[in-house]
Amino acid sequence: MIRVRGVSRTFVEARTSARVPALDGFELEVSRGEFLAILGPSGCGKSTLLRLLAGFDRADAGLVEVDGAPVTAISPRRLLVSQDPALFPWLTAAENIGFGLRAQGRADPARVEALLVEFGLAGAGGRYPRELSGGMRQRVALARALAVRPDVLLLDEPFGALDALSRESMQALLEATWLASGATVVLVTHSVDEALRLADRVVVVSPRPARVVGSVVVESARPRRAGSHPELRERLMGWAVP
Amino acid sequence: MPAPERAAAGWAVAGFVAFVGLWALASGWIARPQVFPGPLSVAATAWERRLDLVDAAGRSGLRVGVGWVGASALAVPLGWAAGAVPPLDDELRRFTGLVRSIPPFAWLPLLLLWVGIGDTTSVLVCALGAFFPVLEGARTGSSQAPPALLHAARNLGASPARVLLAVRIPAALPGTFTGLRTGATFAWMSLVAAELVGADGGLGQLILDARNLARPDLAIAGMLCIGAIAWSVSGVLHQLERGARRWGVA
Ligand SMILES: Nc1ncnc2c1ncn2[C@@H]1O[C@H](COP(=O)(O)OP(=O)(O)OP(=O)(O)O)[C@@H](O)[C@H]1O
Ligand SMILES: [Mg+2]
Repeated sequence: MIRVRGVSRTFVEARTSARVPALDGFELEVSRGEFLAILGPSGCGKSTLLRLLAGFDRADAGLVEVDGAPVTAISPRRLLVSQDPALFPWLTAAENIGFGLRAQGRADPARVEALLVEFGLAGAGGRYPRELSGGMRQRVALARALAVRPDVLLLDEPFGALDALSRESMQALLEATWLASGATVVLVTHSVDEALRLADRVVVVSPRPARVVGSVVVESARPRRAGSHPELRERLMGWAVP
Repeated sequence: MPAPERAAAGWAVAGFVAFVGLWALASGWIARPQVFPGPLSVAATAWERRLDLVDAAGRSGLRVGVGWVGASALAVPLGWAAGAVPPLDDELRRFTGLVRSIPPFAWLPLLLLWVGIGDTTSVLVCALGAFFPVLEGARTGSSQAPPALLHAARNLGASPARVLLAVRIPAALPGTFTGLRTGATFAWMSLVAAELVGADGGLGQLILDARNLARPDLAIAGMLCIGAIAWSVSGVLHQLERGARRWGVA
C-alpha cells in the first residue's frame, strides 16, 4: 500500500535561482496489488512523484509511505523504470537484464533468456544499448526491472518510444506479468487509451504543481479491447487541461 | 584502415616530410654543420651511435615507467574514491592544493639533497609529475558517472561496493585513461629535466653530454628520440582511451 500525504518538492533552477514547485501538498493512495495509471500534462511533476516513491529523491515536506514504512532509501522492492531507460552502456542487452539478479547473488541465465524471448528481443541479447533502437532499449529496461520481481513497479512512460503494434503487445505482456505477480503498479502515461486499457484506476493531475483533479475506476473485465469505455474517456478528457 | 584514419596518417606523413625538408633547407642555408647539422648527418650519427641511444632510451624509459606506474597505482584508486565521496574529495583538495601547484622539477634540489643523484631521484620526479594528472583524470571520471546509472544499479539491488565496481569504475575509465596519458607526458617531461641535472645515463644525460662535447648532431638525435618515444606512448594510450570511450558512456 502506497500512501502519499501532503508531499511537496520544489526545485531551484540553477541559472536563475527561480523556485519551481513540482509538487505541492500532493495526495495519493494506491492499494496493494492495484494497477494505477497517472495522466497529466508534460512538466507537471509526474516523474518527480515516481522518483520520490522509488527513493531516488526526497520530499521537502510531507509523507511518502510504502507498506506502513516511510521511504528513506532506494530498494529493489520498489523498482523505477525511468523515462530515459538508463541502460548500462558497457553491458549487452542480456547482461543488462541479468544485472539485478547477479547483483543480488542469484544469477539466472535461463530467466534472462526467457525474458529476452518474451520481450521480443530474442537474437538481440548480445547487442550493446547503442546498437538497439529506442523502443528496444525501453523493452530491455522493463525486462531488467521485471527480472528482480519487485513488489512495486513504477513505470514512467515505458512505451513512449514504441510503434503502435509493439506497444499493444507490450501492454498485453505487462498486464499478464502484473496479473501473475500481484505487484502494485504505478504507470505514468500520456495515452488515455493505454490508461483505460491497463489500469484499475486512472487519476488525472493538474499542471505544475501537480494535484489530483479527477479519478475514475475502470471495472470491466480483462483483457480489455482498445477503445472501450468511451464514457470514461470523455470524463478523463474533461479534466485534462489543454 | 577506415578513411578518416587513413587521412590522418597521410597528414602525419606529410607533416613529417615537410618538417625534414624545412630542416634540411634551414641547415643548408645556415651552412654551419658544427652548429646546426642537417637531417642526413643527424641520421648518420644516430645510426653510428644507435647502441648508446638505445641504452639511454632504455634507462630513461625504465625510470619513467616505474615512476608512472607507481604514481598511477596510488593515484587511480585515490581518484576513483575521491570522485565517489565528495567530502573525501574536498579534504584531498585542501590537503594537496599547494603541493600540486609545485612543478615536479622544483622538487629536484630537495630530492638531490635527500636521496642524492641516481635512479631513485629520477623515478621520484617522474612519479611527482605523473601523480596529479592521473589523480585528476580518475577523479573527474569517477565524479561524472551518470547519476541515472548509479540510481538504477542501486535500485536493482547492487550493494555500494558493487555499484563502485560495476558502474562507477566502468563509467570512470575514459577520464582515467585521459589522466594516465597526461600523466605519462608529464612524467616524461619531468624526467628529461631531472636527467639534465644529474643522472647515471639516460636521454637527458646523453644530450647534455653531447652539448659538452660540442656534438649538436648527437644532441638532436637524442631530442628526436625523446620526442618519438613520448609521441608513441601517447598514441598508444590515446587508442586505449578511445576504446574505453566507445565502450563506455557514449
Ligand atoms: N532537477 C531539477 N531541477 C530543476 N527543475 C526540475 C528538476 N527536475 C524537474 N524539474 C522541474 O520540475 C517540473 C516537473 O518535472 P517532471 O520531470 O516531474 O515532469 P513530468 O510530469 O514528468 O513531465 P513529462 O511528462 O514531460 O515527463 C518541471 O517543470 C521540471 O522543469
Ligand atoms: Mg516525466
